[in-house]
Amino acid sequence: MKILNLNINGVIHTKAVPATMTLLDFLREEVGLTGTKNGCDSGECGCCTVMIDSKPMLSCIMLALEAERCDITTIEGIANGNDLHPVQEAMVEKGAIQCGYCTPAMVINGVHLLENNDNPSETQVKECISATVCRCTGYNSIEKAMHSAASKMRKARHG
Amino acid sequence: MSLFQENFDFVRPTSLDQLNDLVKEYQEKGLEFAFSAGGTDVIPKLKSQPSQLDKFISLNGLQDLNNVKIQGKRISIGALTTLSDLASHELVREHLPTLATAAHKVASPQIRNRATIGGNIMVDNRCIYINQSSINRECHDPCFKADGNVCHLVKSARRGDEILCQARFVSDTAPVLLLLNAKITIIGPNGARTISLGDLYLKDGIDSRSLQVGEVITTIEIEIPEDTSLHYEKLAIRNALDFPSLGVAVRITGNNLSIALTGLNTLPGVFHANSSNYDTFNDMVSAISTQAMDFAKTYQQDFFPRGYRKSMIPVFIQRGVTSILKDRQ
Repeated sequence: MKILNLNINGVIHTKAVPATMTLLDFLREEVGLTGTKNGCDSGECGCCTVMIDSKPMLSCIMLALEAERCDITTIEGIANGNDLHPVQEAMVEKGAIQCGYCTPAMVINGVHLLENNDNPSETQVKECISATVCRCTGYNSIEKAMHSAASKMRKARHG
Repeated sequence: MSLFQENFDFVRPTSLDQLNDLVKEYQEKGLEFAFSAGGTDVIPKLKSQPSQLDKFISLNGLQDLNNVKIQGKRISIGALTTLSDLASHELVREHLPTLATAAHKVASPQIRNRATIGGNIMVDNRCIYINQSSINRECHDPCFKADGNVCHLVKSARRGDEILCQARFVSDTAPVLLLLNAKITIIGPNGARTISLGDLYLKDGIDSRSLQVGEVITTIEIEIPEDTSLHYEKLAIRNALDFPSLGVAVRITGNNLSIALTGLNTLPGVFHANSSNYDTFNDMVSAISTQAMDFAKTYQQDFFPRGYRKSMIPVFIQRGVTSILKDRQ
């Protein structure tokens, strides 16, 4: 066991963890942030995406100890209190959520894309969600939600 | 909860000296250790098959190896540079745009944010049986590559065969680096050495790299080409995540045509042709295409039918040639 201090959504969590614990298990089992989902547990489905130092990465194929000194943002840290992020709002409005299992990962990837580029091309949106598997929506509504969120964010920024 | 099949300890050295000391210590004590940079290849492997790992050595503390530098006419890429940093790096995009393209074609955005260039040239070989989850693999007896005693691909394979395992070489960046004549610097318990990237690859799917135990790649050096007439094309079931079923890099310099192949054999293939040996340019292209098709191993070890993969080789070579010649106009 090693002591791990981890900054998650702006809060420092200190726990003793075994080396074999993945970041995903740390978030879900130790800290109780169950928004991040465990799908394939082998880096294929994208469900476990979290932001590490502002970049989306897969938490199921990363040891918790490797995240030391990194800033982690999970789906729980995306909304501002009760105000949803424009990406979350758009996902609701466009019916881009069905079973909800991939939603946290879709939102994290979308937020990363749109915070860096609020006028993404169709290809950039497709690429952004390409590695998160959704078995319900057929992806169309998610793409629509991303474009709708982008337009909201452009309006908010540029009027 | 965690699906790791053993308990191991985690260490993260912060300098190469510290790394070498750890390696020497573990070797003396007879401990099993594994290196991990991004971990996107190593960690799924540790989850899917049992091993005797004692020490998991994370290389992420070696921050000196996470950079791209230009020194005169050479570009030096630290092995820990992530694929997304490499693909978007100004120097790489300006001088080695095809390397940026190839890096961008690896896996998925989330994986490229974590996976490194050193890891991609070291990425383990795989076949349709080994590149599966632990649940799927429980349905088969462990194969030679998983310390078992059978090959599901070549039923007649036996220990002692010259090539025991036919798992395919699947790096996307290596073909481009090979055509750029990249050199890699390796550091280990016996000091540092620099070799051509091509010398890293061996022809067995299990022991597929020439690194000695305890050695790691530190930098990749490339002489900036006078012209950037390169092209890389990848065939995969889907653009996101999949390893190349076939990858072809093409380079034209003066009268020379060179190609490098991935996904077709246990190691990458590199072929050169000089136009002075052929009547027409097209003759040269078909001759090199024939060589490439002969190099391809035609086992059914991919989701594409084997004949299809093979028949796409000349198509990809022609596409590369056409694209380069078009860019020159």
